[in-house]
Amino acid sequence: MAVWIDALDRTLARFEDMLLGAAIATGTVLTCTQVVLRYVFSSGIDWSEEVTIYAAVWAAFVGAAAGLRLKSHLIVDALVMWAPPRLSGVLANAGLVVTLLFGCAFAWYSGSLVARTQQLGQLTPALQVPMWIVYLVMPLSGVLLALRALLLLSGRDSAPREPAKT
Amino acid sequence: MLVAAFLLLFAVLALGTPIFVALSATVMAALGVHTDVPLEIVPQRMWAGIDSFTLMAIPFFLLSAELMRVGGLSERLIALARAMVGFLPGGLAMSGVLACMFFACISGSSPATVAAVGGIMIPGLVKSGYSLRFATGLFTVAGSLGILIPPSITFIIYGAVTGASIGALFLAGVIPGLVIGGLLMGYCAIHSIKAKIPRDPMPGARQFLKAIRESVWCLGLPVVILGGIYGGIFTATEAAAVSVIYAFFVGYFVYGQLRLRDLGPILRNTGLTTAVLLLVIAGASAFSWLLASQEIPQKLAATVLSLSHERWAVLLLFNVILLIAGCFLESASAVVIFMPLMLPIAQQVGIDPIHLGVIFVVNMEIGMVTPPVGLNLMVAKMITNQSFSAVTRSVLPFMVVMLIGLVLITYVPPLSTLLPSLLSRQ
Repeated sequence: MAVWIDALDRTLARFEDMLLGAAIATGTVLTCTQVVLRYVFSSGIDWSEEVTIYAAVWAAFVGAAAGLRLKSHLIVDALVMWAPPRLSGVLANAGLVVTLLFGCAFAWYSGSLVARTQQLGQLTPALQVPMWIVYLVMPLSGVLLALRALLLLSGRDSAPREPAKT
Repeated sequence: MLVAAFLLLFAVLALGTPIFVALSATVMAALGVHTDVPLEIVPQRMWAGIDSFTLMAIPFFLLSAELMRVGGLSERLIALARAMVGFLPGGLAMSGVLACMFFACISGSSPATVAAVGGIMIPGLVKSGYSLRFATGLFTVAGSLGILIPPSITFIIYGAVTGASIGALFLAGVIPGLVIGGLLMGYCAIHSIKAKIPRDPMPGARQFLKAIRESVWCLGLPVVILGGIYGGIFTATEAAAVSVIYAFFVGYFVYGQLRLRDLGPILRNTGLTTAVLLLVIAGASAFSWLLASQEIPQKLAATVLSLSHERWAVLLLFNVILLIAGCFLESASAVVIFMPLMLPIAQQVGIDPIHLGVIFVVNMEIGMVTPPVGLNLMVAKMITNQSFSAVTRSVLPFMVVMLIGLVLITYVPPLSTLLPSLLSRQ
């Protein structure tokens, strides 16, 4: 069981990290290519903006779980910091339970959004890909977030907290 | 219903739940309990809140600043700042402020500025006879210039939410940035004369030229960004992407301090920071939609305007609200939640949206150094290994300086609007 969970932990982490890096790299390369094409060759890729946006939005939703794992989400930690250690542990676990529930609810309702979008047959403006495929990252994000909250609740702590850079 | 929603939001936030979870979970709960609105609206509003090409400037600016930092940017900018003002009274502290201003020209983030400049200079200041308390407070506050001097992540979000031009907002931040930087430097001079701290010798011409030569590539970046946007060559987002290529070129080919194997981790970290920010914007967008669905913006506008139509009074009210909000919210969610409430009122009494943007950002700068939620305080705590309350105390005198700056910027609109209007007239 423990081995299996370890493998899940690592696989999820690797998948999330890879997607985060790849999304940023894709957006940068596409947007720069676009500028060069426009000024040097007076042409362009009409789907470049769309892919750049979707790559970052995908990164954002997949990053929900990664942020929980690496403790880089923006949080209000005043109460947890000032409370005595035992109470702050209880508070933190309660917070994780809320996150777990939210992950499940988000997966459920965004899943139903995916289903409804599929029925409507909406396409993305530039690439003409079915919108529901693009939306699929949301239920995935909910599931990943819930899984990570479960892993943390089971006492698997990872990195020390690093404040995010706003 | 709204009172219950806010209470729930604060309760969930107090548990240390990620802010984006607290915001969107509150919206789900409020809608689920009080309305028949299908809850699919929540993921839909979250998606719509970040589905914007303007916001894509954020990851690119984060990435280029990070590439520059790894490429040895901070040391060069500090050396240049020291050569420029180090010989004046309070010179070392003043060059710290100037280095923060230079760094802010490359980075759009305040905590990143505190970490990059303060991390190196706080120990240096202490060694030269400044108290740890003065040094910590100075860099915690001066680092907040990161979001006022362009590029700025907060201006990008403000532009995405309000539709104001990013280019105009960037320009509008320049003079206020110089004003606050100047006020902070003045304070440094007074402090060090009182504390009798020795100054650097006047640098020779050769030393001065060397500092310029070594940092000229770094300072080329803001020229590329602002020049590109104003020359009409590219949009703010494209400028940000081009600045990534520029930063890579400088770090890898010119300075040679950037290694290819650093790229993976840098990209991943940028992705993570971007995700964290976009999620907060997404959650705040859902929350803002909840407020709009309850017609809060209209009701609030009616209430405020029934009290006063005077511009100065409305500005005062906005400042008080934003100062309080800044203590509890970070800037990304604050802009998404408060701007739809404030902008209609501002338009009624004739406040320029660009001016309002600058006022907002200065308030958020102060918010970043006030407890309980202050990102700069967190960073300063980490880089100096002091307690949170020690860092908070060290900030107090500098906070007074910031408040003076806020009053000036609020009640002298041309400080913000002069540069954008000069350029748009051409």
